[in-house]
Amino acid sequence: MNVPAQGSLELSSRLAEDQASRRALVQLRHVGKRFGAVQVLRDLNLDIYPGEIHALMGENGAGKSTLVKILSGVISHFDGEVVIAGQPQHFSNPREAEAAGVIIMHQELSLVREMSVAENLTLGHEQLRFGLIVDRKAAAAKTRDLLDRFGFHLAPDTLVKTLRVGEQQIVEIVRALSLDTKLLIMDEPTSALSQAETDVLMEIIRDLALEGVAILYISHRMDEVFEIADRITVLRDGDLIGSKMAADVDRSDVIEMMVGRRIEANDIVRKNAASKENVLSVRNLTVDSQQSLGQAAQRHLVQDVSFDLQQREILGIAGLLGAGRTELLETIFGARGGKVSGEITINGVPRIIATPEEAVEHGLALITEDRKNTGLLLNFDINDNVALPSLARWSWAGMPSFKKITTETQSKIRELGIRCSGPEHIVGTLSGGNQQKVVLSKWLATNPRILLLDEPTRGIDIGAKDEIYQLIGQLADQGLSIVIASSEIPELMAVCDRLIVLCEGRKIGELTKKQFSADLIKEMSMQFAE
Amino acid sequence: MTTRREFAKQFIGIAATAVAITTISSSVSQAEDKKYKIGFSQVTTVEPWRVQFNKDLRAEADKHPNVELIVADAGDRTEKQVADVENFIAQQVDALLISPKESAGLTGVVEKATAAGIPVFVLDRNVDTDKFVQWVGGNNVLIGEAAGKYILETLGGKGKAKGNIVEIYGGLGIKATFERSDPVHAALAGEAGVKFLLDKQSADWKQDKAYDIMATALRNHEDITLVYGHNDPMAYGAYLAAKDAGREKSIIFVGVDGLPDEGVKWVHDGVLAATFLYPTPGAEGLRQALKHLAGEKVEKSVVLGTEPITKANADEILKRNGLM
Amino acid sequence: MTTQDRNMSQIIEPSKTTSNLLGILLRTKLFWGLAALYLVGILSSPLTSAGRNIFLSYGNTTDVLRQVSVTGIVAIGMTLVILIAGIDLSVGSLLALGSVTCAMLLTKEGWTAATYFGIPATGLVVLLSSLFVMNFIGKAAGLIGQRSDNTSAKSADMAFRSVFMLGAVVVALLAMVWAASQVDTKFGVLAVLLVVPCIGAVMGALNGTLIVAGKLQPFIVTLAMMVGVLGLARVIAGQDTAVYPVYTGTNATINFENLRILLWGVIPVPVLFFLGVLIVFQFVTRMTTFGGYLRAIGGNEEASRLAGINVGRIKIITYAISGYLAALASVLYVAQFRQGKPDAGVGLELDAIAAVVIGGTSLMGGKGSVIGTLVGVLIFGFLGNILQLNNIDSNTQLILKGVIIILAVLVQEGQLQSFFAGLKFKGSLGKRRP
Repeated sequence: MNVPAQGSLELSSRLAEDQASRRALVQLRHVGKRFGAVQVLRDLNLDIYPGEIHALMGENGAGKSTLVKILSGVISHFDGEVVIAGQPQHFSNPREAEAAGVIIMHQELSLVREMSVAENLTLGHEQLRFGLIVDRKAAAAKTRDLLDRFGFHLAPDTLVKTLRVGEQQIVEIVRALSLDTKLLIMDEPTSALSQAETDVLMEIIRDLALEGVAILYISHRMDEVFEIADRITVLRDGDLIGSKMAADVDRSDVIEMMVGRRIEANDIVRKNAASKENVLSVRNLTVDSQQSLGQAAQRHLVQDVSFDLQQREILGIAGLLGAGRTELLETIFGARGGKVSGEITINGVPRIIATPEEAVEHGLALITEDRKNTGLLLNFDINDNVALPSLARWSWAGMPSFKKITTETQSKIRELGIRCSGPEHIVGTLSGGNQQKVVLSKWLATNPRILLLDEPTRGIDIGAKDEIYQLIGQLADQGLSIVIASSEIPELMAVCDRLIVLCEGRKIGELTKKQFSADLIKEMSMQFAE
Repeated sequence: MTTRREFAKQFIGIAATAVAITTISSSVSQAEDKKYKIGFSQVTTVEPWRVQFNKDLRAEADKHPNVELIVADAGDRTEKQVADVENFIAQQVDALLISPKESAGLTGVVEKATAAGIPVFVLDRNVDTDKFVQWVGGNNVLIGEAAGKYILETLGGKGKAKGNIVEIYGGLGIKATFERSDPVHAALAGEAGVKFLLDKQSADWKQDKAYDIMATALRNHEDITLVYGHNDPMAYGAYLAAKDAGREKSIIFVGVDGLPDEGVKWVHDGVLAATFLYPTPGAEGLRQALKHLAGEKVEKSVVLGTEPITKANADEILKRNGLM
Repeated sequence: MTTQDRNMSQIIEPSKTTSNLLGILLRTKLFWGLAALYLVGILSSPLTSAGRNIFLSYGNTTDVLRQVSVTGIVAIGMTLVILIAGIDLSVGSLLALGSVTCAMLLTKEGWTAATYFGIPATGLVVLLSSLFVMNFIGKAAGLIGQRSDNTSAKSADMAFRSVFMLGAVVVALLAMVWAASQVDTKFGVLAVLLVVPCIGAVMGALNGTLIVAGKLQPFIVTLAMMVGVLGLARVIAGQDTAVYPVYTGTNATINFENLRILLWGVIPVPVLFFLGVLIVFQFVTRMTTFGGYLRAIGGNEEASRLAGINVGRIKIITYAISGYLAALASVLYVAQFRQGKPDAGVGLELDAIAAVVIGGTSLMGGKGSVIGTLVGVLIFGFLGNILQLNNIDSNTQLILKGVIIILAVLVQEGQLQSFFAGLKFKGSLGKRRP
């Protein structure tokens, strides 16, 4: 352990001066929490100041969420003391925390799916007419104000369930910001946002900080943290490892504090180059939105997109939220209804793929962006999840061979290094990275020729992310052709051989590895934005 | 052979009424020049008794060529029946017959029809008003009394009656159930030799549930003398259970309702020893309505009597209904 | 990595051994309730005059088994539907429809609504199921379904497929002709056992098709079907008939009696049917790919669809099975109670759902078993029997049944302890958040 744990509360002289003049908004004194035999948080001392953007980092299980739950009143039994604005506080429920100005923006979306954006934003704070009737007009106006203030353009009466994950997150952010906030806790606020939206959010966060709101910012994304944070606090296994001014540390310092060892974050190493053979050709693919009542006109989700994919190639798809990345992959996989035109050729044979069943038959595999809702059977074990798409092939006369399932699963657990108690481990209790490896396993077990990956590292720890990148590289080396859609430009640049950039459903351009540049990709992906 | 004489006596009574009714209807038929549109709101048509009710009414209507009968089935729902009656009021029927689902929900609409000048005849269940012309219906207490008398006689007569009785209740919480039950208990109250084996076991008027109750009772009680079912299907269900246990010969089965293709047939087949007619007010209701329309004065209420049905008269009733 | 793996296995191994005994107890908790109830039955049972325990007597046991057979068969179909996170409220009405058609087929000569409806339904179901069986045999024998781009292999595949198609059509036609040949006399037992369940299967498949094609909630579709089929049953029965009595030997074939006898004096025939259905579907849910798909769809429908499973087809088949079993149960109902009537299955869907849930199958789908449903059905059956033997009046019986449902579900979900804990610490209940 070469981590400087003792110097954890050293602060730069500038801040020390600053702090002498200001009183800490939040003071945590000897805070600890134990679940049964597991000490998830140990003797934590930490100050958070008004107007400070305070990043909280750590791998899964480090104790971040426990700390957040204590601050926001979800956990009401803990050791130590929480002082807010000079008052010792012991919240027994989130409502009390909200009343004291501690607002949390969850990583797990907490919106009511069947309600409109406006209803969600005013939920619990409805303006009433005659003390009885919810004033919908006022709510809509207020919502439009809020959305405009933050530069988001959504109709207030849109139902939340019709929004994409990223758009839902925007609503969540706006909801948190609309309340009278002293401490705003943001748990992975950008995990579903595109670069441009992230930029807007960063602006908003800075504005809020200038207004004196303290921000506790939890994120795995180094770039963001260094872009915005004044101070970075790192937790590991329930201990406070360090709390440093952002200016005093660099990426690898922080990663080392988090992981306990040094990790070199670099482009993945490829052994075999892509062949010239086209495995997948997409020509003039156009996808229209499914027409539904109340929706004014059909719009093109994907418009006239063409590209080729070669064997052993990793092709990236970049673009903002709503650029059509997901729609493109889902359409190729036959997972979308609605009107589709264009041509898809697999291994030189034109194919019409209308259902995932046919896609699997033709050697395609899709790893969806929403692992928990569309990728896994969370209450089932690894065996079941791995066997799912291959069950028919591993059966004779309608009866699956359980022996075959277990051996296949065991070999995948070994190959991909899934950390679990065995093939019977329930997938829902695995970490994000290991869950994603299970998703990969189930598709690799179908012996696919083409792997379509949508946001393959969303919500995954840094260490595990790196493993997934290496794995993708190995798979390509072994002969698979891979398409990766991602909102994280650094990720695409590190992994892909070639990139196409989408904007509003159209293909803006194509970049080879040598042409990769974050600024160029950003610029291209905002081609049509006003 | 006292019972037979009893029956004969009652039979003469009934025959007398029948004759009287025939004369009335013939006097009505003499004045058959005006056409009548008569609406009938029936609560439901899925129970066999209701089906018989409708059959009786239609058969009576067929006897009068000047009657146009319109039947509405409320599907066992109060709101539908209210709408049905309102519909009849709108059609300005000449008379309204209604067999209501319940009194509370339908009292209003009966008053409304009367206010609209339509003579209303309430059949079977009653409503909470006197703003109608006449009520016609059976009387379950009479049936209970007749059944009690029959059971007492069958088990040995007053003071000497002996036997174990399985009583299968209709629906607990329904008035008819207790009107069919209480007089039987009253009739047997002083009999030390008589024992009711079960405590209020309800089969909900259903043959299948009665079968299950009887199957268990047969396991539990080695000596069962008589089964009294609050309707014929339940008595028959109990019979089937006894038959499956090989004990049907030693048990007397008594039912209620006396529908021709159920109770009467089972009595004829020797399955039930007796059943007690719960007459449908279908035919009588229409006759009374026509009488009223012809300008005659009618009673405020007409109680239909019961009729014990045993081997002695079952054939005769089956023949009367064209089933033999 | 290797050291880490070893650490991991060390962490896991001891807990595995210590939890073994507890694990077995937990896994068999399903049977505790039943065993406890059985014990109560023995202890509370009245004795015969010879001093023998009535509850324990063989006759009483076969009584209970026979009583639960109809509900049990329906509940097994319901288990499959609930496994895919669906619900089938139409089973009661399907039983009524089945009972009416069954009674009519047995007692009426000539073409009636029952035959007009039943014979085409039989043709359809036999056609589809024999196609399925032939496809299945073909695949198992390796004649069709081999993935190959080879032209000759493809044409051979096509040839086999057409032969199978033709074969299925012939089988279906034969079935229809045979059924139709019985129209002029009255239907025999085997014909009834063929035709009536097929009607149920067609209506069930209609349920499934509406749910899949219309993207509708199963609750609302099967609720509509429950109402509609009840009407259909009445229409088929005819306006003037509330009950079709079946008197074997008089107005129906005496052979029909065979469906209610105590076979070899040992086992009632309905129970034999129940056990048969139970074994078949225990096998189907546990040992087949179809069973795996049922669980997967219940666990996460969208993930299953994206894994290349034809979710729609499996749903339709599942609802068809539920309908088939409800109508099969109706034949046994008619045999047992000698009547077919439109109000035969009132409330049956709720009994079946309760039995399934007591048996540990989650209404959320994905989790549960057919054996569990057997336990659920038996708990209901024995409870009713015990109350009846002890002469508890019908209203009190209803109350006790309600209590037992709640208790059984608490035990199944392992929530009993926390339930009582929650009662004890009332003060902190408001503060705790899950």
